[in-house]
Amino acid sequence: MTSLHLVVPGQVIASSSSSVGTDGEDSFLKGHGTYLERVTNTSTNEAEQRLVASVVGIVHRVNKLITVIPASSGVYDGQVGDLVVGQVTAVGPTRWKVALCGSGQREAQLPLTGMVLPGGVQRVRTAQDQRDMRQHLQEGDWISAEVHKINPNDGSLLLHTRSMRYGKLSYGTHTCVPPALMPRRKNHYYTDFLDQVDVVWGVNGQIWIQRKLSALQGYHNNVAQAENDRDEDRHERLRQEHASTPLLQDDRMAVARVRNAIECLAMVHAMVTPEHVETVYRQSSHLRPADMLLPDNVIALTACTRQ
Amino acid sequence: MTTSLRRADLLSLSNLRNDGRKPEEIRRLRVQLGPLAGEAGGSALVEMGLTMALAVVKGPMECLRRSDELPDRAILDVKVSAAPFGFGTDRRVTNANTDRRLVEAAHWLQKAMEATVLLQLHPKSRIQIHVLVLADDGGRLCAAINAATCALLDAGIPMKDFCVACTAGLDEDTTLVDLNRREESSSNGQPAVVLPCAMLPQRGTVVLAQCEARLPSTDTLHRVQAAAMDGCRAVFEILQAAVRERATTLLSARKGHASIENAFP
Repeated sequence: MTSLHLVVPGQVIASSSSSVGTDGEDSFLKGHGTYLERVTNTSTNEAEQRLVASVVGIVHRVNKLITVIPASSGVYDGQVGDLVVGQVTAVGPTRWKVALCGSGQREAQLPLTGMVLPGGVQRVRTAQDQRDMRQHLQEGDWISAEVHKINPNDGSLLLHTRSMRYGKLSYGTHTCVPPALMPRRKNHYYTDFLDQVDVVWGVNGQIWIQRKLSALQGYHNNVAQAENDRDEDRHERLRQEHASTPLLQDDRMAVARVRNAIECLAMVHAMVTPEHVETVYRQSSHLRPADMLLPDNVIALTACTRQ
Repeated sequence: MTTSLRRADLLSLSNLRNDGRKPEEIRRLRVQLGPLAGEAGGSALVEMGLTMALAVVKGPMECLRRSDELPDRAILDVKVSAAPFGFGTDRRVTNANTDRRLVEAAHWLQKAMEATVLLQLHPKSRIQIHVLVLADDGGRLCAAINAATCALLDAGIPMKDFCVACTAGLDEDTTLVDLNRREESSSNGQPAVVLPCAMLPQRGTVVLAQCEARLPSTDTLHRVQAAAMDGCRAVFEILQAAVRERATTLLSARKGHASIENAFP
């Protein structure tokens, strides 16, 4: 079934002939993963327009629009509104550079104006703010952010963290899967995932896993105290508390188990969805987290993703 | 005398070459896609007979210097290097990584790939192609081009077509395809005829053809060229089959109904 629609670069998907000179109406539109080519037949002097595949993948057609969905999983194709997880690689004069897909791809930019100032004040960013940039985020920090804009000139991404859900990630672990294995979902923040951890599923394939915040001692007291506080303060306090509470053995094991469950799925090229991770997690209960990545165990654990 | 020696050398009386191939037969070609999955955007290992090349593709990513950026398209950053153990028989090479012939190979590889990759889709960025020649038994440039094509496909970088390469040569009057080291090295002071050729097989466009030897006539050149193009088409069939198989595996694994034999390369 799939092999019928599988195309490779250079393969002609569709062609339409029209006589030279007239700009006849095309029967198709060029989508991602394709390019148009005009071929003139010298004997009949007839121009033919061909739609040719440019990546390996499956042909997908919506009315006239023909796209090729790539089979390879390497490239993250950003869309406005995506939740992404990335690592700060450089601090510039007014912006941070954020690597979204390891070192192999273009970096996104997080402008100073795209983040909330401490205390949530709304004002124009000053030179003092620029000097303090490294206090907020420095090289090597992991952040979660939302794609704000795509630069129309070169396709680079502009991020923002203008919500308390976004911002610096700390005291957790990070793992990454090929972006194609990470489907877009309604919700990419999972708090209390499996009653054990909080997970941030970046659409770019980067995943952040940390101990669940609600497990913290005194969390509820804190919330009660801060009833009158603003949202930002409460989040800030929660983060501080998270940082100051020691991490227990059980928390570490749960984080490691979720991480290795994700790794297992990526190893067999299965979709990394919360449902799959949950199944793998539950089936791995008889194993130590470290043993989950042995090839035999990977195949056994991920059997649920195959029919 | 010289020619008769050469003929006895390369082609036996039964019209077979020294490794048992027919004149128009290519060497055994093996392709492995994504051997370094997880480490890089795309990777491929191509074996043409005993010649082995590993290509790694990264990108599109930032240019190292702003001055390198092109406003309308991506630049290719190509490097060809050789494993220190890959030149066991070549005593002329003292340091494989400063070898001028590798620099030249990188240049030709870049020219061939610039004609193939749709660079205008990623302006102001850089695509890095690094080929490591692990073993060299002739046809190093062609193995590098084939490996780079497979790595680009594995990385999902848009291309016009495959870019496949194969060499052809001449023994007296017979054209030989996909020369090994013995066939492409000079004998009796006469440089061997070697014509590496890279083409886009589905459009029939030649993007690279190079011949430094002296040929008796243009007609001969055309014959050698045609032989090289036939070799390219044979290479294309094998590469295409490998790429399709890999894509089918990946796609069906993602859909949730498939084998996982290729999951652990």
